Amino acid sequence: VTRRLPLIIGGVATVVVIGLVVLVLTSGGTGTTQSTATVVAPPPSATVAAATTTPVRSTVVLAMGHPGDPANTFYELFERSAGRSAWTLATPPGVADNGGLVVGHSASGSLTAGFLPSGALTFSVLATSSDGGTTWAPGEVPGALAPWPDALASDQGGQVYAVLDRPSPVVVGSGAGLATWSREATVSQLTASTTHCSVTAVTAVGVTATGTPVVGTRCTDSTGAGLFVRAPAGGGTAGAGRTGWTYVGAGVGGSTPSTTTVLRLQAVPGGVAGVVERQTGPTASVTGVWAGGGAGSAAPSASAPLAVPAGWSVRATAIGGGGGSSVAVLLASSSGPGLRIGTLAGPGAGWVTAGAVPAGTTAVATVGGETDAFVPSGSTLGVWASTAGSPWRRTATITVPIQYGSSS
Amino acid sequence: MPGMGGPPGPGDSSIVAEFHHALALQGVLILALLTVLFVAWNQLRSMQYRRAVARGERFDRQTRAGDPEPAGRRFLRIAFGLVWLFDGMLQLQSGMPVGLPTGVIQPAATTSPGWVQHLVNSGLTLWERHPATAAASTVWIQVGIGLLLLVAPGWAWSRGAGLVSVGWGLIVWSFGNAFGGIFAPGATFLFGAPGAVLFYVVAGALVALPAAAWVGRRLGRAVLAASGALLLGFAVLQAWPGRGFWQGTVGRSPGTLTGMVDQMARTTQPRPLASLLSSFASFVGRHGWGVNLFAVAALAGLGVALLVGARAEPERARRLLFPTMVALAVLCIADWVLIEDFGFWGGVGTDPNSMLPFLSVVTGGYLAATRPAAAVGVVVGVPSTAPDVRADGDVPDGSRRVAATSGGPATDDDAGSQEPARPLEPVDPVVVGAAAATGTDPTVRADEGPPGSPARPAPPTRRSWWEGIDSRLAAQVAATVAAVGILLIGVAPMAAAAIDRTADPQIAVATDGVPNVTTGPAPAFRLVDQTGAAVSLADLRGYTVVLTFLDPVCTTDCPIIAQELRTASDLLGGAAAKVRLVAVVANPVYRSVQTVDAFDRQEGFDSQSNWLYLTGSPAALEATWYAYGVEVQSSPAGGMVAHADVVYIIDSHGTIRRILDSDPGSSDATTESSFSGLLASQVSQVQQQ
Repeated sequence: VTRRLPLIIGGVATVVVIGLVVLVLTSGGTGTTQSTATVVAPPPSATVAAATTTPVRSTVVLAMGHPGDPANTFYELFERSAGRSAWTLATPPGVADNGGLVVGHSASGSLTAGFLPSGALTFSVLATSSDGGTTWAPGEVPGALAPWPDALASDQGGQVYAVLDRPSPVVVGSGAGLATWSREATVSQLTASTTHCSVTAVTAVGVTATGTPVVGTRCTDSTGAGLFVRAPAGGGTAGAGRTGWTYVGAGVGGSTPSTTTVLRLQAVPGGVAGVVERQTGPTASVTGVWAGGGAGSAAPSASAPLAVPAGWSVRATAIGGGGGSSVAVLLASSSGPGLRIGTLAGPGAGWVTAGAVPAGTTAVATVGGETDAFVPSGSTLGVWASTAGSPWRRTATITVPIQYGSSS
Repeated sequence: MPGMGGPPGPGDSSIVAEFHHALALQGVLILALLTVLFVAWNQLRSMQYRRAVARGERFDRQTRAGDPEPAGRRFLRIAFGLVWLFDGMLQLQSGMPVGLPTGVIQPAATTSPGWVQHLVNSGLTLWERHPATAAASTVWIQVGIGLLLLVAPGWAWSRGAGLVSVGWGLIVWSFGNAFGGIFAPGATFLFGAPGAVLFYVVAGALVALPAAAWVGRRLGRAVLAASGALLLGFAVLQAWPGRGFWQGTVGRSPGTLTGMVDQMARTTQPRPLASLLSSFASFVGRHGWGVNLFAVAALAGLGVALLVGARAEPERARRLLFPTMVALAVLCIADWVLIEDFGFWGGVGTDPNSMLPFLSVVTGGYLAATRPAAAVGVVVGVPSTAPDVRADGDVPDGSRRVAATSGGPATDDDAGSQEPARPLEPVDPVVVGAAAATGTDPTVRADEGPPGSPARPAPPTRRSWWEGIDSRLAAQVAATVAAVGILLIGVAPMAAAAIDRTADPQIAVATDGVPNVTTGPAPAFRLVDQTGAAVSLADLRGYTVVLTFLDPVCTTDCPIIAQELRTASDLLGGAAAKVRLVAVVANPVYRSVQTVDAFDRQEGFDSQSNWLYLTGSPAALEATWYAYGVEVQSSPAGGMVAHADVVYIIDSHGTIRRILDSDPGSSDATTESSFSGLLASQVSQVQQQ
């Protein structure tokens, strides 16, 4: 029996079609490499470099090491006691701080540092120091600190407030000795306390010299800064309702609803000072805000906004110095070496901007009438100073014993 | 300390030793199988010989003439059988267990789309977990396929061999070759696209076609046309602007083709070959445009010639296709040498790359188109060389040649049908031998005598069934059984490895070294556990203690080690009830019960019943660290506390039996799984002591 060929492929036409299919398949690789997925490593912690000056001391936290490599980026704490001119390394030991470091100041001068999670570590631990960072004692916090510069604050009596990211976004307050913690505020509680701000995150906590906690938030569809003050015991604060928190807000310019974020919140004489970023579409600005400590205190005030040019961002902030209530921001171009410092002397003052900033500056601090600029390069930190607009001068070079590879 | 243990390299001695051990073990099995088969075959021949001598007959063999296998199919079967054998031999290279994933498979997928990388990585997991097993299995699978293609008797067996070739080829092509790079931006025929193994698959599929498919020219024409279309398609790709093939150099960087050749020149290989490639790379660098023009023209010209030849009348096709085949062979061999660099140098080469396989497929198509099989004389459904001669000299109906007629003039598609049928005559092979020796007509039965002579009486004894078995067929069947056996000896461990999710302990040994077997009293300690309860080593008598030192705020190794310990405990099953996993805090600052508890919650150990995380005063901890030789150092400037990564296995009497370096280094799921398996096996051994 002669059999006809039971070929799957029949006819030259079919073969040509298959050839075309092969061509189409392979042409997926023609001409361009754009189809190749490129995985970009996420940047290291979004923590903004932060400096704080109190009557007792100044501190600054900034990233050093290899900023492009998260495992070799280390956040260092430098301290400068009042009356001294030198900055010294005061990073607390015992934990890798590649995720970031936040520092809270108390009116008595003690420091509370918190380590942000990194690598396989998913919770935070604290370190407290009463001698300006010479010695540290360990402490615990019930979760992971939120990655904001002022996620920690402490009062004169040693009570610490912390903004947590996990296990849920919440503000917690400690008992004596950090042994016990209690929930102080949640996003939903804060949102329920006002109609002016839809809270999406708690971003800062501060404690006034009188011990009143103040919470800063990110608000959407708001014209004011998300500032909330704890109602005094027994209630009585207008608007506090059942939540225990009162929205005090602060106009940050414009009537167009925007997203506002409290970047900083630190105790200053008479209350707290903060830095608020306002984002309206592609337009951004920063504003200095000052708030009192609850009922009977002065109404919150805000500076005029300082526009953040397109393609620029806030790289660092500083609070304190000057008369004790000054605010400074370091703006940086995302695509080039451009740097600009804006300074507010205090409530009611206008922005003073300076475009001449030492190249590579990643942090600034205001100490008395002096502005210090910090220029890290690997393990070396250059410190520059300028007083009242005078030319910058290099005042110190600090070598930091970074242990590269210790976190990888 | 973190980062001390690196991943095993391609030449890692412990994994190579494991690979050689697996090969030797399987080799012994195969040797035993071959021995049994040879003895059986030889026994059969001996019995046949003795019986023939007893009958006063000469023992001689004559197999039937006239193998009906078409020339094109036979060429493909033998060519790709040899190629699979060669590939199997390449898999014997010591670098394969570790080097294949990192040196071949992953680079092949690097520039492919994400879904290809994902697929490749999923397949890589098996190899990375069981490198020695996978590498050894691959050797035998490929050797088995090659042998099966070469020795399989008749259509049914060899079609099966073709199917096996297709199946394994598809696995290799997708998981091992990332689809030959056809989805990658730089795909080019000159460098191996669409992948050598795809041609193995095509050849296997052609061999697997039924006998009727090989009748006439149609199959050969289809193969030639498909090959022509493929060449044309790749000519278009080669000419496509913006892919870097038209430039020998781009600025100071080499162009695409120059870079490829230059890269191959740097492969470890004989120096003259490296020099030749370097010279060619320089030539391409200087004349990139001209070289690419030649490549495009050659690919397009040969593609058109194959397409036209496939459609032409037989005589014209023969005239056109022969020079085309010669030109194609020259191009393929030149490309194989000058661009693909033979494909198998460097220590982890897995095949001779695409040119020879492609040329072989086209040659098979050419032979099928120019030397077609006849429609008649095709044995359907039984081995072609099987005599199926029964003791009475008859042939079963089913094995007779199909003496059919085409029923009309031959067409182009079945031109071979004009070949006259050669009906198979039933022949008694033993009688044939005797007849041949005496010069008589072999078709005449021995008991009939020569024509015209009086009939002789029949032999006094009846012939046994085995006397009629053709020894050549028996040899073929034995070889086929051997090939299938070799294949299964490769497949079985590979299948077992596929379902075993615990990586080979050998990987951990390669990373951290061999566990130290020791005997000595475990130093006593008295600390508190995660609940604040006091715990001493003496309290743990009766349990096998797995003791390690962990920093509760560690960001790298410690959480990994803790999870490895837990996985080891899981692997021990019921025996874990007599095991205590004990960690001692290795941080001089963060050592509180609260911090330890936070670590336990982070790692999900709060419900691990045999887990103890011990801490204590600085003095108690330092004493314990010192006693166990664990150095703990606090690092400045935001650095993590440094400490030794070590695991002690202490038996139920308080004696240290094993010390393991537990540094996970740059760990991944495979190394972690491997360490858990190693630890579990060591604990089991200690428990059984």
